[in-house]
Amino acid sequence: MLIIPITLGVSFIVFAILAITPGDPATMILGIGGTQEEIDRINRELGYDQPFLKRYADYLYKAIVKQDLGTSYQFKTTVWSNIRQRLPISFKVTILALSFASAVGIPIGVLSAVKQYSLLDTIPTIMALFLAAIPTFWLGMMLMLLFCLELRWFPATGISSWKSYVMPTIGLGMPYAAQQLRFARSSMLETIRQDYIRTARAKGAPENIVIWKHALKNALLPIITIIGVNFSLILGGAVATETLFSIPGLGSMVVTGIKMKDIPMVMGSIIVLSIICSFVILVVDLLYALIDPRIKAKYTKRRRSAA
Amino acid sequence: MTETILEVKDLEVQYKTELETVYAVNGISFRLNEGETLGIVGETGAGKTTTALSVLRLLPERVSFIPKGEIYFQGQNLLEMKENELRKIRGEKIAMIFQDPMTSLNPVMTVGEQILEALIFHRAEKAEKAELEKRVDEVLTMVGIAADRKADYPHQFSGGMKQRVVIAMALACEPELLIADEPTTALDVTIQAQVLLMIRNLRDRLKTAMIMITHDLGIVAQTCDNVAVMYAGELIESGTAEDIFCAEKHHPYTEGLFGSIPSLRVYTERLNPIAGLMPDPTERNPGCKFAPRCPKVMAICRSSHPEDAVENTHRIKCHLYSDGITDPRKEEERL
Ligand SMILES: Nc1ncnc2c1ncn2[C@@H]1O[C@H](COP(=O)(O)OP(=O)(O)OP(=O)(O)O)[C@@H](O)[C@H]1O
Ligand SMILES: [Mg+2]
Repeated sequence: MLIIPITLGVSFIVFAILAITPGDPATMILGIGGTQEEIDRINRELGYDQPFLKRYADYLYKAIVKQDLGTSYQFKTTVWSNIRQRLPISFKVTILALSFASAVGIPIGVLSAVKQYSLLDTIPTIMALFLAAIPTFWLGMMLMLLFCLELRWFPATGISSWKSYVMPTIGLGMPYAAQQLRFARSSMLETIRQDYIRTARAKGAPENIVIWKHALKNALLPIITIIGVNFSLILGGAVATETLFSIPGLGSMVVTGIKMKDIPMVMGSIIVLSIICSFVILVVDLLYALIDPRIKAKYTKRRRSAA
Repeated sequence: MTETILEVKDLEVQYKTELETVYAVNGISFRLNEGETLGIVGETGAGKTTTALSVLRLLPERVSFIPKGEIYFQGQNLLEMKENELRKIRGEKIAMIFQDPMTSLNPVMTVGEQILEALIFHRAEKAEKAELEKRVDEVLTMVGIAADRKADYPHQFSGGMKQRVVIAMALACEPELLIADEPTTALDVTIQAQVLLMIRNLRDRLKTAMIMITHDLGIVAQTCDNVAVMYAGELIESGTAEDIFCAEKHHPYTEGLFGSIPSLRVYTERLNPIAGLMPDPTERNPGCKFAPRCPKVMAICRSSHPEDAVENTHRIKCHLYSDGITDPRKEEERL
């Protein structure tokens, strides 16, 4: 149950950064035309004349006790309604990118481990190294130039149909596909050297059963951890890609929120994101237990002794 | 029943790594008849496991090479067989019990699944799933494990029980040849005897031919019809159990092996191991492999490789017996 301390920690850090950085909300709300009097009045209304810790405590009190994340300064609507609108889009893009990364990365990684030193191994490995080194933003831009602007296969911006998801999915998922490829490869190489793989062969197991059943199930354990970590990174990394492809998701909202000093909006989004990420870590732990009987035994034993 | 089931002819196996070549097996030949048991004894690193794995063609890919030799199983050369033909033999006709039971079971599959799998690979066309399940219960009971434990995972078993599972898996398809690679080395002394007794009983009941690999001469004496003593990738002495345990003349290495067994009658301060180490397997010297450690070493031993001296079933690879094992003259001259 690490969710609570993690979320609290993250919220404090973000709150502090927003407080330290120059600029105040009132100036942003009023624009350049506002007089010093008006600015002071609004800052007082929003509580910005209070010391930092008091502000943070008030914010937490409202968020936790009243379950009120406040009102966005830019949109004048509740933060929660904005998040509810945009989160599903970000979530969809993240899941798509993650699925793409796993569907491409893991099988190719397994294959290159099985065919170690052959072309099937070297080509993907070199490509993976390349992809891992390329910044997501640049890759997204190149993809957009080629497929959206040059070939016009997919729309370049916005979310209109399924086609709009293709480019962000690939652009966002590609580096993670590369990472999972490398992980699956090394995990698999480690696994196929194990004695129980030889035992399986000694029973007369066909090669595809040896690889995809005996070996992969064992090799999957470390890969799942990476998928979980990737989820958080992709959700976070969506900021760049969402901005690039003008996707109305949570990421692009956080970016404008920061620019506009829309503190409630940024805080609310970050808190929701960190809760989701902590939750994913929990799910990964559960998945782990599902695959590895040794870990499952630990869980059930604990439950038994607790009961 | 004296039909030959397995014949190995002049087998050589090498492991090649980027840095060096390990000459693990250097021209060994032996023959095993149906229903009989051959014991292969030797120190660690002698090449016993390598020999066993070559028979199943399970040597690690890419690093291992078989530059020379033939392995006939029921008349077919295993070294020329294709992978899919080999698959039909592995598990079904030749099964292997591996050295380390702790690592030879898949940790994420139940033991039942793992035994069932062996049956599915070879019996799926002939039998219903339910029949195969019943067979799993049967073999588990046979090795002394309650059938209702088949849903458990390997980590829930003790070392001895894991080895029993491995044995159950090997015997599931009633193989014609069972290769047991030090089946008891990794086990507790008290369990060793149990497991060994069980293997012997099962072998007698199923009339399986067996290769028993061990470095324990006691085990050999209890289980084997024939014995081969392996040293640095060569069979330096072989023969029937009688030849090895009762004959007068032996290879000095075999004598050393006997000397290293603690005796109940003679009080010894400590074990009596043969002094020195096995030669570096990455080097090939012209002389006898045992010469550097041999208490009876002669000048010729360092320069020329000895041939087998043969008397009936008894073979000794040693210059001491270059005029025949029965001839005592040589011995006297030397003294
Ligand atoms: N995969 C490998 N790569 C390189 N060398 C190897 C490999 N496997 C075994 N060897 C070498 O081959 C030789 C014979 O090894 P092998 O495992 O057959 O010995 P063994 O007689 O079974 O010993 P033990 O009693 O310890 O099981 C040893 O020198 C060993 O170091
Ligand atoms: Mg061995």
